[in-house]
Amino acid sequence: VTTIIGTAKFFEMTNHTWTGTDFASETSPEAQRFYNYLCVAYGGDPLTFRFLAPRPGPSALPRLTAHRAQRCPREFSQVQHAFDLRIMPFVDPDLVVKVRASQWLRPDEIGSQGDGK
Amino acid sequence: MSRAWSLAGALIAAWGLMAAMVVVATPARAESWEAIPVNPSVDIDYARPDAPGLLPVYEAVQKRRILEELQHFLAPLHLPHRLLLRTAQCDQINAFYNPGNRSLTLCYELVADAVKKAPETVSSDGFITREAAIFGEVVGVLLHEGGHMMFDMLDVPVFGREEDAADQNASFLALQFNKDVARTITKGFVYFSSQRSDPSGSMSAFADEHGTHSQRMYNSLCLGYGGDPQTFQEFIDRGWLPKERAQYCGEEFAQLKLAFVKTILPFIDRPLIQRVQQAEWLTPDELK
Repeated sequence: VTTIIGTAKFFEMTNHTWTGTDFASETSPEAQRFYNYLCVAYGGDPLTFRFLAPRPGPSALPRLTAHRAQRCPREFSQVQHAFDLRIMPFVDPDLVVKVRASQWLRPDEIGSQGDGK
Repeated sequence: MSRAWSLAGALIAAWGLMAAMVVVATPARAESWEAIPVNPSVDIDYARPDAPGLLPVYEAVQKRRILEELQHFLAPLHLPHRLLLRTAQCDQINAFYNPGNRSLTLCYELVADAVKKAPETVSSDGFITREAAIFGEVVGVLLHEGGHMMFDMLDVPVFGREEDAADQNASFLALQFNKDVARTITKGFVYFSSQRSDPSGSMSAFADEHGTHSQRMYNSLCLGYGGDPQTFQEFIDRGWLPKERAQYCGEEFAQLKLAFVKTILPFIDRPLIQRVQQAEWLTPDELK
């Protein structure tokens, strides 16, 4: 959650207004990347990232739109499938278990989880 | 060339292009599409529209036997499941692939809209003709939806947004035929993209699963230039693609080509695709 939210916040805080040939950049507008990150997160773990679900009311982080949110489970499944097909064959499954069980961030590096609502 | 025939040619060419592959065929004499075998996994259906205003489009595509021809054009593609190609009234300007029933639908409304919004004769800068605009719009959409179909049917791994991948697939396939066809498709796609507004303002304006119209246009031009710098140099000279982006387009195209070769080419019958590539799908009018 910290990684996803931190990345999304970084995109949100940019104040670049995209116009004209800005869209010719090989990178996408920060707002698009913001929603891409959050959509994959919400699609993969809707319970943990439930604070991103579309609903009215104030929020510390912009929520997903209803239109996008309904597509997120499939977007996550598609990326997961691609990862399993193309990258997992090169991954040591035993070491993955150890990596996932490790504590990578210090307690003070773990931020709040969205708006917590 | 009547408008109906022109549209028919565009639709036919779309599927010919979609079946096109990486390797440019060796020169050979063009043959009739009827000589190319039918793809036995493809079914077709012309759905009669309820709206009287769409009947001319319905009648035109049916009279031209477009879907029958598409069965031939898809011959090189080894499909693991049956595919239904259909034309239909959708009550929206759209085309879509439905993985639930593995059908690809071209809406009559989309064809009618392209005809309505294309320049009367040529764009204001004199660069894009009416025929190219209509042709490029319809073919570009079909190539895009064909990408969704292949991703599903062939279990193609997709990282990132599928809509972006489908656009890249369309651009790549368009480049596999001769330079005139590739340039015509791109011109049409560019014309309609440039006529549409990009989102602005709030964050949520960028929440869609598609890129903005300008992004999609620049991406298409970049892959065109990356794959064939000589043919697409005029798009840079005319200011359609900034030079800052163009310098990276060769790498973008190479990456896309590698992905295509690894994931889709194994499902292609190469002798058959060479025959499809050699067939004359477009008239000189449609290539203006």
